[in-house]
Amino acid sequence: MARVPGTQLVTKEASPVHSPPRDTEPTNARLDDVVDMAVPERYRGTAQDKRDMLVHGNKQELRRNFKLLTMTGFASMVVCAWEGLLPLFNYVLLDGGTALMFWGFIGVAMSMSFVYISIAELASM
Amino acid sequence: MSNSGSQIAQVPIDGMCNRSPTAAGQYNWVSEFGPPKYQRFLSYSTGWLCAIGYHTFLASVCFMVGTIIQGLIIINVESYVFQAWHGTLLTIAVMSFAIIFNTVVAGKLPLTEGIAVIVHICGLFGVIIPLWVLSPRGDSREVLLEFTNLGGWPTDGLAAMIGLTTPLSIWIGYETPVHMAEEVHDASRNLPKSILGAVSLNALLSFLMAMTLIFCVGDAEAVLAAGDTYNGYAFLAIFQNAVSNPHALNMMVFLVVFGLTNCAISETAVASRQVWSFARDNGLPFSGWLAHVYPGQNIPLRAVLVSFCFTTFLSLINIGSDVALNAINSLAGVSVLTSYLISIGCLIWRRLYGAPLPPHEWSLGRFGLPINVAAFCCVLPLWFFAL
Repeated sequence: MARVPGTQLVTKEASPVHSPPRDTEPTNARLDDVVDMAVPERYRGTAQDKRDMLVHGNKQELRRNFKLLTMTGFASMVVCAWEGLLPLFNYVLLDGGTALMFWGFIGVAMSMSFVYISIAELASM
Repeated sequence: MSNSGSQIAQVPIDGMCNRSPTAAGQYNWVSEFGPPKYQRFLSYSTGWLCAIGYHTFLASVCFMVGTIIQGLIIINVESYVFQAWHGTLLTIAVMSFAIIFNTVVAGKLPLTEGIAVIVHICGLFGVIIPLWVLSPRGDSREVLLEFTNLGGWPTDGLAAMIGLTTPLSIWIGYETPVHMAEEVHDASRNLPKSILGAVSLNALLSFLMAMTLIFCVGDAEAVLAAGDTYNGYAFLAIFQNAVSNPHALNMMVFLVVFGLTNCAISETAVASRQVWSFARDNGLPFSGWLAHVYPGQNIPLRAVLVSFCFTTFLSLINIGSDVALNAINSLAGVSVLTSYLISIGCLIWRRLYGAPLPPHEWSLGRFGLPINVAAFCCVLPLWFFAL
């Protein structure tokens, strides 16, 4: 099991976070404990990454080998928006037609933009 | 944004504060921000919804690729006799291909995705330029203002709501970098940027594709009828109306197949990471077995294999009836959309009634609550009709 004992994610109560800074600032040795020794040095991420893993009590077992551009590429390929539109085009042609494709796209784009802005904020928390 | 880094370093990390990106994604947000009374149940449901959603989405993409290839065979080989199980076998082949990229060459996944996204961007023009040049152009008033109801629904409004699932489907899934959080350098800073970057890029690309399709479709009923003979894909008929040269047609369809195959590869990665992470938090049966990562390997191998088995079994449904499979596939979008709704709902609850949010790298500041509420209210009707 990858979890460090003593932490259990799902049952954790929401707690205030503006408590004063304590002297529990992790030493480098403690930060390095979260990394599995099999992960090569260059894939271990920043100190912030290690701190994040420590907060959750997870161990760094996978390699941090994605950077900003490759991750943007990854996110684009998961949805594959224009390619995916082609096989799905049947349904909108049948129900709604070309006008729905146009106005529906604009409406959905606006609604989902709010969703992804919210999710981007969640993702950095 | 640069100032917030120093504040974050001061946050106590003795387990009191639970803040930072992990591969868990939605169910983790729900457990952190949801009302304490319901957070356990909501978080557990969200985890299951995502696990099921990503796997059905994966099966759906593999099935699309398999059957598009089959449609291409129908166009190219006149003596070909259609069999539904050929589609299933092609689906399993695509799935196996995606598994190879997620196991044997998993370390090269960032490179694969980098190359794929370049083809993804350039390929769009390879498809739309022939259509612009060679297709008959629709009249803009008709194309943009005339709604149709060919599916036999009682009212045009209902038909429109059903048809809305097409534009909605290509807008679901951009949060998936979150599940790769433990594989991104400087995750808390790069994840929000990559999510919004991908949304903007693909919004532009898919809008170009949508415009091209609606203006180049020609006679909708004729295209749909022709599409039925090509394994049900109307776009193959649209392509064929435009380019008569079979090599050009094959090339255009290849670009689409290439993109969707890469979609299957990345979706396998996402689905397996989500399952792995959920198992790590004891959310699934056989969690201990699933959560294991062989030391030195870059992938949760057991979770990847579970993804393979699940998708293979789903694609077997096609042998019996492709209608049943399509119904299951539409489940994918709805379950992931539900997980967005629950996550954003919990965030709104936390902003209104809970403790202050933890400091984070990418913050909306005082616009946070209005944007969250707008997101929730706009997506609720979409979710209802996608159901």
